[in-house]
This record gives sequence, C-alpha cells and structure tokens, in this order.
Amino acid sequence: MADRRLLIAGTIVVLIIVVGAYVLWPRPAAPPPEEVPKYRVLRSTWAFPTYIDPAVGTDRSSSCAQINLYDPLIKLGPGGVIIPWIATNWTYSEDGLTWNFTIRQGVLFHDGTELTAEDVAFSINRMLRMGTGRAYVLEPYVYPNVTVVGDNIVQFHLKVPFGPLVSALNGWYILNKDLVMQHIESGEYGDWGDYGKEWLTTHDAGSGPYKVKSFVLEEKLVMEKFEDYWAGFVDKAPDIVEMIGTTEPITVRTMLANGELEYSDCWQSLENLLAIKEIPNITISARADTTGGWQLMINTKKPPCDDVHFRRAMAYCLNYTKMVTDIFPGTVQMVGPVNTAMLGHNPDVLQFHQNFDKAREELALSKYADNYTEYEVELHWCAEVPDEEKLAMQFMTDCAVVNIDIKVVKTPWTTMVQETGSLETSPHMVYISAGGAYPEAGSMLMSRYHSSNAASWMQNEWLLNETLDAMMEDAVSTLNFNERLEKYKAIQVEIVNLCPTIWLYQGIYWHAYPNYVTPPWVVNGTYVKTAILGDVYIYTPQSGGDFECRLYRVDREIEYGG
Amino acid sequence: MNALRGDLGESIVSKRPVSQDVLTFFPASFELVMFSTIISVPLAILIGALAGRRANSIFDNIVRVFSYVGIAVPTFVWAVLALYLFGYLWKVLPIMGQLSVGIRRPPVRTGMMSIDALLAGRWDAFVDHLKHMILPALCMSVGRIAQEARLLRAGIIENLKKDYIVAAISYGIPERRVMMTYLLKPSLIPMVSIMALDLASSMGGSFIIETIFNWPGFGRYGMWAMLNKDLNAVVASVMIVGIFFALFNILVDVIIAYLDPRIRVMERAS
Amino acid sequence: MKSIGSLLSEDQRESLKRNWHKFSTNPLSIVGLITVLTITFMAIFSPWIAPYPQSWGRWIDFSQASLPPSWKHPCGTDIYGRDILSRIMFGFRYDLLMAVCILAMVVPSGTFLGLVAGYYHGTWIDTVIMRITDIFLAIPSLVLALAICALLEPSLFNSMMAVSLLWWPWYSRLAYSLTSSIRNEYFVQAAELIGANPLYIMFREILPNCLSPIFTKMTLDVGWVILIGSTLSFVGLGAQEPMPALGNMVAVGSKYMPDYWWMTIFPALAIAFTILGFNLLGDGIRDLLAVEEI
Repeated sequence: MADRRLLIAGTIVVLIIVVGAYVLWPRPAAPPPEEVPKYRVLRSTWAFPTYIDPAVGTDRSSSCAQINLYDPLIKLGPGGVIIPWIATNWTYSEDGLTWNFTIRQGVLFHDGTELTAEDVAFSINRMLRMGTGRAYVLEPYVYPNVTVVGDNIVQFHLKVPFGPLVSALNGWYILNKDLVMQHIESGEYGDWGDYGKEWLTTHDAGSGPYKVKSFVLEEKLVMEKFEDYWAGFVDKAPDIVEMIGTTEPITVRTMLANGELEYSDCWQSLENLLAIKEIPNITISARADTTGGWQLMINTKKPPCDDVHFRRAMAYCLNYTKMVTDIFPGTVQMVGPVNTAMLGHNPDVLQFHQNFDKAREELALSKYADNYTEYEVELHWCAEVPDEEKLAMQFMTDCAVVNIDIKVVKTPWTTMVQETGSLETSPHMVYISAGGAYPEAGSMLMSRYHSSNAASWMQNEWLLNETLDAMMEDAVSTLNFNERLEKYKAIQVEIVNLCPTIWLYQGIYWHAYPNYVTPPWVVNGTYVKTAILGDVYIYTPQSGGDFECRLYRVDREIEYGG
Repeated sequence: MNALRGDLGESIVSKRPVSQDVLTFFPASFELVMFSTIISVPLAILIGALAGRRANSIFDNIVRVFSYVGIAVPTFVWAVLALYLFGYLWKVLPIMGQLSVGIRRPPVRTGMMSIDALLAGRWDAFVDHLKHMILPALCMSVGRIAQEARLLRAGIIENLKKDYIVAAISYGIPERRVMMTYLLKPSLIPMVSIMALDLASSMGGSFIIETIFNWPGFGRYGMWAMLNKDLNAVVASVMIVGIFFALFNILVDVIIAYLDPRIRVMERAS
Repeated sequence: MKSIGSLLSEDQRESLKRNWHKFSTNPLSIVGLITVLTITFMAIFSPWIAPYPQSWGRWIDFSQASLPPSWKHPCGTDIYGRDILSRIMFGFRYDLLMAVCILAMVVPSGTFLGLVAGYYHGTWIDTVIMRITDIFLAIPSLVLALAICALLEPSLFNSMMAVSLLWWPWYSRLAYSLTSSIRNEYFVQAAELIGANPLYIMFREILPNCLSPIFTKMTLDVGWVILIGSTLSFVGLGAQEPMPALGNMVAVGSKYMPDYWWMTIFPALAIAFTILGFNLLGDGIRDLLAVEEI
C-alpha cells in the first residue's frame, strides 16, 4: 500500500515539474505576422451531389457549377432572348435539316490553348453519344455527327426540322478536346473509351470564368477566377467561389450569422427563413421559376381518375388562394400547363379556382357519380421536399368537403421515379415540379405530355393521345417563330380541356445573403414586391443562369486559407 | 449463395455494389458504437457500484430513478431533447455530421475519422470530430448505462449478503479491497452478458441515432435503404447487424468464462 | 344499490386488500398506476375531452399555424394549425390500440408454440419450433421491425404486423422453459399415465401453471411495445397523416427546432411518460405476483 502511495506522489511531483517548466521556460518572441493576401470569397451552400461534367449533371447545383466552368454556344437572357456566346451567328438550310454555326475566335481554355470548331464538334457529339445529362433535349432531332466544315464553322445535321434548336442549345458546354483525350480511360463508348468521364468528375476542361481549384466529392467544390476570361468580370467579382454540400438548416443559419456564408441554397423552409431574417445585415430575395411549375399529375388511366369530370371536380376543390398566400407566399398560380414566362404561353386558357358547386356538378356528370366515395385516391408527395406536405394536406381537406377521399402518402424521390416508370405502378396522383429545357412552351409540352416521354417521372398522366402527339410534333418542327407560338397556344387549350393535371403554382426560390453581396439577378431582374420575406425577381430562364459568379459583387475582402 | 462470397448485389439507390457501400459506411458506425461503449461502460460501473455499495442512500435513489427513466425513454426522445438543450438552447456541442464546415477532412484510411485524423496528425480535426461524437454517443448509451448500472447494483446488493463477503469484512480487510477484489468481479458477470447484447443492439439503435444526427454511417445508410425499399441494401444491413449480434454473443461467453472461475474450471475438467 | 365489495366473498375481499396493501407500499407502482389510468382515460375519452377534437382528422387551419403554448392551446399548435394537446390525446389512442392488438396476437400464438415445443421436449417438434425462435431472436428486433415495415406499405396495421412478427419468440421461449420443467412434475406424469389427451394436459394441467409469469411479462411488455411502435412511427413507418402518432409528431416537429420547440418536446414527453408509467406498473405487478426476474 505504501509503495503505491509513494508512486502516486512521485508521479504528481514529476507532472508539476514538467508543467511548470513548460509554462515558465523562456520562449523566443513570436515572429511578426506575415502579410496575408486577401480575397473576395463567395461561399454558398447547395444540395449535393454535384456533377461538373456537362454531359452528366443537369440538376440545379450541377448546372450552377457548369455555367461557371464552361462556355455554352448561346446563353439566354431575360424573356428568353438568345445571346450569342461561343456561336456568334447561325444559318439554316431551306428544309431546316442543316444548320451552320460560326464559332467565336480568341476564346482561351484554362490551359491557355484556343477554343476551335473542332472542340465544339467534339463536345456536342460527346453529349449526344453519351446520351446522359441534357442529351434528351436534342437526341430526337440531331444526329450525333456534328462536323467541322470551315475554319470556324460547325455543321449540325438534323433528323427532322426543329424550330427551337438555337435556344435549346443553352447548357451545351464546350470542352477542351485535347485535354479530355489525354485523360480517356477504357469504358463503354467504344473508340472513345469512357469519354473522359472519370477524369471530368473532379476536373474541368473548360474556358469559363472560373476553374476548379479543388473538389472533394459530396463535400466541397472550390473554384478560382480565370484571369484571361474573354468576356470579363463585373467590378468586385469574387476571386474564390466555394460550393459547399450542405442544406442543413441550422448549419446554414449559423454560417450566415458568423459571416461565413455569402449565398444560401434555395431549399430552406419558410420557418427557417423567418428565423434567418432576424440576423442583422442579411437580405432575403427570391428568384421566380421561369421554366416550369409545381403540379399534381393525375393518372388518367386509373379509376376513378380516368373520368375527366372527376378530374375537373378535384381541380375545383383546391383552395388556390390559400396556396399562394399562406402555404407558398409570393408564388403565383399557374395558368394552364405552361409557365407564364415561356414563349408561346396561352394566357386565355381556363384557370381553375375553388368552387364546390362546380365540383359537385362535375361529380354528378362523371360515371362515378354514384360510387366515387368508395374510391381512395392516393396522392404521393416527395419526402425530400417537406413543404409539399402542407399543400397535400390542404388538398385532402378541401376534397373532403365533397367527400372525395384523398390519401396522402409520403414517398421518397427514388421510389417516385420508379413507380412513375410504368402504367401499372403509377399512383393516382403525384406532386412534382416539372418544366422545360428551353424557354418555349413546346419544351414543357413535349416533356410533360408527349407519349414518347410517358414512362418517366416527368409524366404521370399517361395521356397517350395520338392527336396531341401529332400537334406537338408539328409545332416544334415549324421553323417560323410566330407560327410556332400560335401552334403551342392551340395545344394548351386542348390539354386544359382534358384536365390531366392540377396546375398549382410557379415556384419561387428564396436565397439569403449578407448585404455586402449583390447577386446579378437582383440588379438586372424585374421584380415583384412581396410583404413576407423580400422581393421576388424574374431573371434569365437559363438553368444555373442566376449563379454566374462573374456577375456577382462581393464587397468584402477576407484572408483565405483554403 | 452469392452472399456467402461477399457479393450482395447492387443497391438501387446508390447505384453501387452493396458490399462496397457497407465497407464505406460501416467504419463510421463502428466508431460511434465503440465510442459510446467507451463512455458508457465506466460510467455504468461507477454509478452501479456506488449505488450498490450505498444502497438506499440519496444517491442510490437518484440512480434508481435514473435507471427507470433511462430504460423507459426511447433513444429518439433522448436525441431530440439533447438536440434542443445542447445544440440549440445552450449551443455547446455540434449536432450535425462528423466535422465542422470549416475543417478539412483528413484522408480516409480506416474510415474511422478519429483514427484517420490521428494518423494524418490532424489534431484540429480529431478534437472537432470527438466533439461531434459526444451527443450521438451519449444518446445512444443512456439506455445502456441505466440498464447496466441497475444490474450491477442488484448484483452487488445480493453479493454483499454472501458469507464470504461477510467473512472478509469481519476479518478486517479494508473496505476498498473487499470492494475491488471480492465484490466487483462476481457482480460484473450478469452485467457483462447484458453489456455485449446492448452493444450489439446499439448497432440497431444507430439506425435511428445516425439519421437524427446526420452521421454518415451504416445506420443512416440502412435507414435510407429501407425508406427507399432498396431490397438488396436492406437485406445486407439486416444481415450485417445479425452477424454483429452473433459475434458479440460469442465474445460474451469468452469474457464470462474469464470472470467466472467456476466455468473455467468446469471447461478444464471436461 | 349493492356495493361492489359485497359481491365478493369475505376471503376474496381479504386477499384483495392484502394485495393492494402489498402493491401500494411501493410509491413507484402507485405513480405507474396513476399514469396508466390517466393515459387510458385520455385515450378512451379523447373525442369528448380534447379541447379541439377536429385536430384529429382531415382538418387544417393555416391561420392558427405554429402558435406557441398559451391558455388557448396549452401545448401550442403545429404547422397546420392543429392543437398539439388534442393530437397527443388521440395519439395515446393509437399507442394503446397498438399495444393491445400486438399483445393479443403475440401472447396466444407465442405461448401455444412454446407449450407445444416444451411438451414434446426433445422431439423434432421442439427442434423446429425452438430453432425458428432462435433465428428471430438473433437479430435486434428494432432493425428487423424497421426492415419489415419499410418493405411493406407504411401504415398502422403493417407496423403492428411487423412488431408482432418478431415479438412472439419471447413468449414461446418463456412458455417453453416453463413447460419443460412443469411437464416432469408428478401431476403431469399422473395425467399421462391415466391416458389423458395431450391437448388436455397442455391446456388444463400445464397452462394454468404458466399463466402468472406470462401475465407478468405481458404487463412489462406493454411499455416495450409502445416504445418500438413509437420508434417506427418516428421514422415515418407507423400511422400516416392525418392520423396522429406521437413518434411521427416528434419527427416532424424536430425539423422546426429550436424556434418551434413545443411541436417536439410535448409529444416526446408524452411518449416518455406513457412508457415509464407502464414499466412502473409492470414492475409493481411483478413484485405482487412474486415472479422472478424475467
């Protein structure tokens, strides 16, 4: 026992001596602080995963990364105006089957080599042949053999005439052919190996205003300014852009409060935004969705929803006013199947409103007039978008007034994609946001109602209507712009008559940012004042166009360690 | 049969082989479960032993109430309470994920981030990671601590009545020595057997805890697979948890044989 | 009017008094009994005593959304404007219903299998039944319940089925161990000797002697069943909206922490008290019936 006490005492003495010596030991004075360079940094949060390869990713965070790393053939401005970008002008043959694009000269890739027609042909063919990402937009029309026909001219060969070809080329980015070819590995694309897919997951081969500095998958993408960018930057544009893969409400809030975040993601709930609004020097504004809308897609082949009167009855039940004021304040109700900002939208189609008398009339007309209460109509909403539940519950409550039995089912996104893939598994209704790839009504109509696209999450309607299909095909192959728009309008009337969908609202996306940051859409967009959180702005319809960092102003410089 | 060769098929949701997913996500869960064991076992022994030794004291009564509450209240209730108190109200501990946003992730070697951070010599990441582990590990172990402490307390009270203890005390052997040498070891036996089962079932509890604390481990992956009806991944996660459970049952037998000389002697005799 | 007491014989009254005295010496048992009675009362009479009974069904009111606790709404309202206190009361209904249904399915089936296996101790029947039991016990019940429930369509009924499916082995194991010791008693052997029907022996000779431990386990299990049920509903696999389920209320509310803490904290406390109450009551009954630790 005594030995043990001695041992403990000894240990304590030694400890005291060591700690004391460490504290009292004379130390050389600390070296003078070095001059640390300061940067303008734009840190932003996103819903990851993000795919920076233009042939792979089309979701929001991917589009927003790509627009900074790469240059497209054309860009889209407010109102769907086409802005020549890498392509400076274009011509097409009489039959509309051959298109020539002239390529801008003097554009440099990040490795210093010049962008040529060869790179353009390579990039477009790569996307078409890989068949992923945005390929679906042009695949039905363009052969995957875009060729170089002159010094700086590329030629597209079309299967059928396609009127909106140029605006559909937004988001088709140009890659550095030589650089990609150096990094090709064996893969599924024959002579082209993996088409550089593996390497391009974490590297860029572009000519855009920013280049990849580092990219930890699923976590953080860091981009730095490309000083030799041909189109220039606004004054005080960020030197460093960080895209951080989190949308965790509490993290976003803490980062904003600590001055560690310059741009929040658009997935924060209204409740969290109200709390963020309390943080001093933070502004909250919203971007309006100009390419699509939120919809309840009704399976028109599944009883009792196979009856048009039953569908109209449901459409007359929902309280649309409450939807745009209480549930999603700041949004506007859709008018027909197309976003109001799209070219060729028909503002004269019937817009549904809550009217229980009309709902009862329609129910009486339907073939389920006697027994519709026996059916349970399943409404599947997306588990990843918790706000959807509010509207689903509102719809359920409203329908209960006329004794339509709605069953609200929370469904994960992947399950939704699987079940909408075939007619047998498609539920009565799904609640999804869907839209078009270019700012013409035809884009949204084709992806939402054309039979060729029926077996996808973009459609749960299963209209499979040959007349409508023919009308849509005819419209998009019309080369004359005005004629095309008129045809779109006629189609919308037909679709509203069938009432295959309950068109809800055009989404808005809230972003919070500190006062020293000015997003371009706040400067250049047209806006609508709202009372709730901030203003709603309408800006470019190009996917990712709101996050063109070279147009952001960051009026603060900080030390940046990486 | 393919499962026996380690081929568990492909996950529908992650679009990767399930076995690869399991290898990616399992270490993080293992780390969390082990950390919660490291916290809970000494605490349980300490609380249980003190309460048993001083039966019916105030401390003992507190422990008894705690063990009732600890066993009865589900983990997710502890988790949301902890989130509210420590994460939001007092803001003392991080509540989401494995690392703070500003800190760079150490290179992955074992998949257990604390060990990875040490291997890479990244002290900042190690400390930050430990902080992130405290809340989930604590919530995971409340029930365990309560149950184990209760068993130990009961064991000690029972053994205190045994002749050899009474004899030892009346011989005048110091109390601490009686406690450590003669009392604790036999009283630990029932606790050890339940401890291993608890450890294995906290692997099951991790399904809930990891989802709440956004811990990128096997539990969150399994939960995610279940909610997405990803059959291959679900089968794999249930299987892995089952294997884990079985392994720990075997381990218990070994430890008990060590603690209980009667079993050792019996085995030697046969 | 005759009082209830006079319906019983002197002996019965005496033994009831004795038991009550024994039971009431432990204050924790009394706390448990009061909690359980309160909760059962609220569950049964919720449509009449809940302050806002419409909060239970297809009803929402966004103008009342997210109100903090006040005299009007003692536990506040949720994001749909429904009164949380009323929903908790209705939530008790589903919790109790779940516990009763599950035990009603599990106890007879598990006991029967255990009885048969124990009676035919050492035969192939024993082997088959008890090995299946072992398999079910080899995987943590929570994980198995989650898996079964998720692969089926999530609903209250399916979650009950899932829990029942993995709860019966505990009863068959208990009944098995009791039966295999009782079957060697003289009275069983005597019955066999005079050629009694095996079913008669099992149900009239052995079963009555197993009832008290099985009953005790049942009362102890109510709490556990509610626990596992609320965990299932916490991950969204129990009763679906707009049905109130306490676990689901906690899960939904936790998204709005800390600003709307009442949406989470009150349902969480309700769950805690329910389970605690049943556990305390169960312990009290176990002490009363003097059944050894199960």
